[in-house]
Amino acid sequence: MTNREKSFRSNRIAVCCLALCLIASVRARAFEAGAAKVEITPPLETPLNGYGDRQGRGAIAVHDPVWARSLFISDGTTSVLLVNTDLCVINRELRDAVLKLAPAEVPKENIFLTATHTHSAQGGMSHLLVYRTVSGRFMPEVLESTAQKIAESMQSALASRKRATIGFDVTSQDNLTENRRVPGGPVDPQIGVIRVDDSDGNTIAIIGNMAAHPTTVEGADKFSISADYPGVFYNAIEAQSAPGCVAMFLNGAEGNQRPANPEKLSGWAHTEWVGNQLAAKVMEVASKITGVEAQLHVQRSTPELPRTIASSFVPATTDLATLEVDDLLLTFVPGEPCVEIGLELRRMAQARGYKAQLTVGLANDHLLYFVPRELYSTPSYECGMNMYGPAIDRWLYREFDALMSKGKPATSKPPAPESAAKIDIENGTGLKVQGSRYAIGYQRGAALADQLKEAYANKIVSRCEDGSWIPSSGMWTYAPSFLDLTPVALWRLSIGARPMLATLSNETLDTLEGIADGAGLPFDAVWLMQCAPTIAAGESIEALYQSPFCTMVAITGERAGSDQVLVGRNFDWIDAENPVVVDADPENGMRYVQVGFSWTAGAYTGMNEAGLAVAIERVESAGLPALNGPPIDMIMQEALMRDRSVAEVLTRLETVPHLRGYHVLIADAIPENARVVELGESRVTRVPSSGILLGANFPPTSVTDADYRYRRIDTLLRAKRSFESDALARIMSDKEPGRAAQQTILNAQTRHSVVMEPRFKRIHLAFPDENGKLGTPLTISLRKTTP
Amino acid sequence: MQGSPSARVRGGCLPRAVLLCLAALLVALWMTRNSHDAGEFIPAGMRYNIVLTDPVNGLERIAQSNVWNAWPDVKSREAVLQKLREDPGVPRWILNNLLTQRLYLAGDDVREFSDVLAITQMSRIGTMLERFLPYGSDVEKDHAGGLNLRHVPSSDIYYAVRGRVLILSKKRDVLIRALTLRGGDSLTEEAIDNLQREGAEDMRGTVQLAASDPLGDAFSSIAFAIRIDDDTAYAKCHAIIHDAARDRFGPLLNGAKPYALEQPLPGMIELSANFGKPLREVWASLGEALQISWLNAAQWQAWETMPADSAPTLAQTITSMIGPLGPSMRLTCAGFDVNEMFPVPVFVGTLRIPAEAVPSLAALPPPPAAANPWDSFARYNADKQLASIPLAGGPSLEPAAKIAGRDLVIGTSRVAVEKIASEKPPMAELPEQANLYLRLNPPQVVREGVTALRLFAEMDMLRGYDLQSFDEAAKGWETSAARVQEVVLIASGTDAALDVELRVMCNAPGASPKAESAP
Repeated sequence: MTNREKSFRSNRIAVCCLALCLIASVRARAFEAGAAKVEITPPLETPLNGYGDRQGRGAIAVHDPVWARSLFISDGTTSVLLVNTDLCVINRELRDAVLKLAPAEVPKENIFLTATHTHSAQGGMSHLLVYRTVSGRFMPEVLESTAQKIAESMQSALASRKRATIGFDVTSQDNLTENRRVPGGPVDPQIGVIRVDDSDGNTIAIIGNMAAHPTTVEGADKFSISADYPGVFYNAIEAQSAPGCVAMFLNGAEGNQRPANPEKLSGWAHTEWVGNQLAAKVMEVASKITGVEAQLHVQRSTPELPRTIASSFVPATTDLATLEVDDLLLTFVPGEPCVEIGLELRRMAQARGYKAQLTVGLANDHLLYFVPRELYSTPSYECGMNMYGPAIDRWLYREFDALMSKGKPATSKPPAPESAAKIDIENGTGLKVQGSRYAIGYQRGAALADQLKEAYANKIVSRCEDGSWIPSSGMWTYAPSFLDLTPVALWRLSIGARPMLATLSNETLDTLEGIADGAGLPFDAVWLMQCAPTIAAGESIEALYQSPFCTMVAITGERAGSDQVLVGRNFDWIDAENPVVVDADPENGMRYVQVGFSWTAGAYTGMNEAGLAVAIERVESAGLPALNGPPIDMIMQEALMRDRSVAEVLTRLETVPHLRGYHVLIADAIPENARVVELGESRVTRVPSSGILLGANFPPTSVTDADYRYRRIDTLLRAKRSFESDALARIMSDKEPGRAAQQTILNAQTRHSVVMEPRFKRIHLAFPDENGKLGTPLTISLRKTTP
Repeated sequence: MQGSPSARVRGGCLPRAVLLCLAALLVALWMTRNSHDAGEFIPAGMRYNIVLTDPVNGLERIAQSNVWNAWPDVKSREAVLQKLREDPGVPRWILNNLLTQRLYLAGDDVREFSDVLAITQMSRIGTMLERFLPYGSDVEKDHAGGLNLRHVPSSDIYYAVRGRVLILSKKRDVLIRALTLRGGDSLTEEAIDNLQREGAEDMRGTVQLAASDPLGDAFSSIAFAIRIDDDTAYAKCHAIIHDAARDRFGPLLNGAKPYALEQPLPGMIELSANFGKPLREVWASLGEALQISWLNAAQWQAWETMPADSAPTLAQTITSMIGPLGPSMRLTCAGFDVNEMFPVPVFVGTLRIPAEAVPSLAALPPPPAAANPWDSFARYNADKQLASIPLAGGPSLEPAAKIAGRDLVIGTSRVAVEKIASEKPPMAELPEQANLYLRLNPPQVVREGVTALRLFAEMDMLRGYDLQSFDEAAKGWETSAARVQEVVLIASGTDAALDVELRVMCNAPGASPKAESAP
């Protein structure tokens, strides 16, 4: 054999080997799939999950069976088990039990457990007491048997795997779903379809994805076991497909979505209609899908969740996952996202280059609802069950953004803002903060974290612990004394306080979120602190406030000297708390100074760079503060951030008719422009008389402590024709001899004393020491320092 | 052979020494003669009279008893044990001679025991020791008009000795009064006999109660006996019902006598009762006796009375059905169902069905026609022959009733009722005849309670505990409870008196608790 022949021969062998390797490689990377379903219908008397009004009673009939349906897919490198169960939720007990029994061939992190959210399948699988009110008594045997059957379906799917192709497409609907909270509100029109065929063209599985609560079962049928409309969908799909095809349903961002009922059907007829309509849509699309041997990619993370006030009931971390099937992205959300969140996740996915995106809710965990920030103050069930604050939507966007492999992430966790600068002031704390609204809040929260936590413990938690904020009626009264209802009360209070956020601007929410994050507190804790005075006023005003608790005055015209308007204000408060002044210079908006305490995000006293000065005082005769809107100090905070004149504040006050129980003093840089708005059953706006405008009028004969204070201030002001700011400051620090308790202008409960010069945009403030003596005044000139 | 002078001297001294010794012995015998009875110094009419048997050895045995391990409050248990085990500072042989077979205690202050008078008979050696005690110790003489008291300033105790009787008190006037009693003012011989009556008790006595004393509104006097052994504490008392309280207890105990009691149903708290009356009468009289406002005849009557113009209500049906049942009754707390919507105790009991009043569960008023199957109406399941009322949640929140043999089984849990009915309630009788038998299984009570409470601790809803501190505390509770095998209370009454026995049976340290002991 010549060398050439030898060379040719060895080349042939090499080519053959290479070809064999390639064949083997292609063979190893072949796409495989298998699907199976196992009935998981529980025995009668098992409690059904989803409706609290069932009161945990058991099922009395089976309308249609419930199933676990599993699809195994593998591209040769990545193996995935996608499990669709006719259950209300995948709670942690069930997830853990299933994963223990799951086939070892598929990595645990590639197993996706989803629930259709039927409200008519077994409960009884929650160990934690708080969930038993809806899911009924804990039945370990039902948990075990359900987990075993789900695992069985996974095993069967795995065992039936064969060479396969997969394809997907989407279609839309306009009459199958509707927004259950806002008529005509946002819906997700998309219906997602995935079809899996074997190499002979036989359909292995068809998956439909749509966002709507399976809650068509009603009335007496609520005690019948049913898969709801997904059950009808399965039957319709499987009836139209080759034998062995497994139909599956993945619910979407269904938080505020329900099946529409344009034909006004009732009972099971409605269920049938929704299921059949959905099946028709899905089959129409599925029939046109051409499958391929797709590439699979799984991303998973276990991030820390935003802080929650309900930390006793919900976890601090969760399981997020995405599955990519070529250009299709499936986003698995561990709870019930509202449709707005689903739509945004889709927009983000498409922007990253995915051809289609399906949100799969109720996957792998159940953290209840996720509402977008703009709905956080809506008094709805979804908002009440949103446990992780108003930033949960952005948290989901950020975390899922990080789990997409295509394109570049559009969001990332912003770095923590810089620390606040300190302002030296005697007997209190001064902070200079700047940047975005969030940064301003964060800097403040971080600088005052310890004080905020202490205030939260004292003002909110302790009132629940000692029972003063626990309702004295209903089920609350049946709790034995060894139970501490604080965790439940905090959760319920936070739900009750959220509607008070309505009408507040995004900037204010940003600031509050910043404070919460900076202080390491849940958002609801910070917001409850803002609402605490209003809530407390409703129960026992005497214990918490004097009447009125402040002294405030504006002097105008000639009497105000070169200033033309001067505002003096002493803020009286029964608790001796650390006074705080915050000089905030936001990057977008007016600079302002706000004087209060560590925990007061609202403005009890403040001035902005336009020279708008605001001060508020509580007046009992004006009624009790209402709980159906933001507290007065938050409204005044918004005014400081946005308004430049008295006229604008007056307009703003017209938009918040719920305010009662306060007098508001506002002044601006326009000469003689000062007003006191009395927010009572009816509203009265007063203007200065002879250049004097008192926060409250006093009767001819003094009765209350405030009468004495206002009479004294009136006397002192009338004694002189003209005042400069230092003269007014002396009046504000007056202690009339012979007067007791809170009858003097500066008294033992005064927590800050302020003089504001709107024309010169200056604010002078002093904090008292523990003996009530004012410290050296600090002057802040409010000129914008950042471009 | 003549003896030496020294031998002579010795020979002369020995008889003298012997004589001297004999004389000394005679003097000692004379001085320690038993010239007085202890009873002479116990004033008659004292509010309490107590006798401790073999106090020195008894206290030592009591201090070593495992019963103390069962005392749940660690601090107070330690305080008592410390007192019991405290070194008295006096050698034991001296104590044995000072405190012989019995120690009598008497006084009037039944709350603070500040005026206690202690009387005991010393041995001859003890008497001699007492004679020499004042020399070289801190005992002071107190002439007291010739009564010759002694005062021990360090413990502020006064005492006196008469013959071989040692009389002590913290109060000088109490001691003087005891020493100056005339013949008729001291305790009668019969009363002393009663106090001294032979028995195995460590302590027995009588207490006369005033209306203002604890239990004084119900009883005029209580006689009691207590014994504490290695693993058992036993207490028995006989309480005379106060004349003024006869109205209160009369309805319950009128004509009562001890009856044979049925073996209770198994559980963590078991009760078997027989007052010789049907439930309806027991209900009302028990409310009267225990002064529970809603447990009264009028309330029962209101429930049971049929309205003339409407169908019978559920309350009517139930009360008229179970009212005549009895007199044998059993009630058991089987434990907690911690899997229910919220943890609930499971109670189940039986009522004996008299031949003339067999209840008809099928006669329950049917639910309204429009009622859903899950609505809270009483229902009769003909297949199971069981009546039940579904409340919220599962079967442990579904009170039920079913006839099983000679008993009607009732309970707060349908499952528990069905179980007891299918297994047939035990028919055996307890060895004791009484009106009430109550048995506690402390390890099970604590175990079940801990499991139920832990559910709240998991959610930070248990006052004073988080999950970790609860688990730590629970370990201690379970360890303490495991030392107790059972606590049994047996009570019986007559028109005029109430007899109560209490038994606490403990496990020796390190021994594994017995699973269940038959009552």
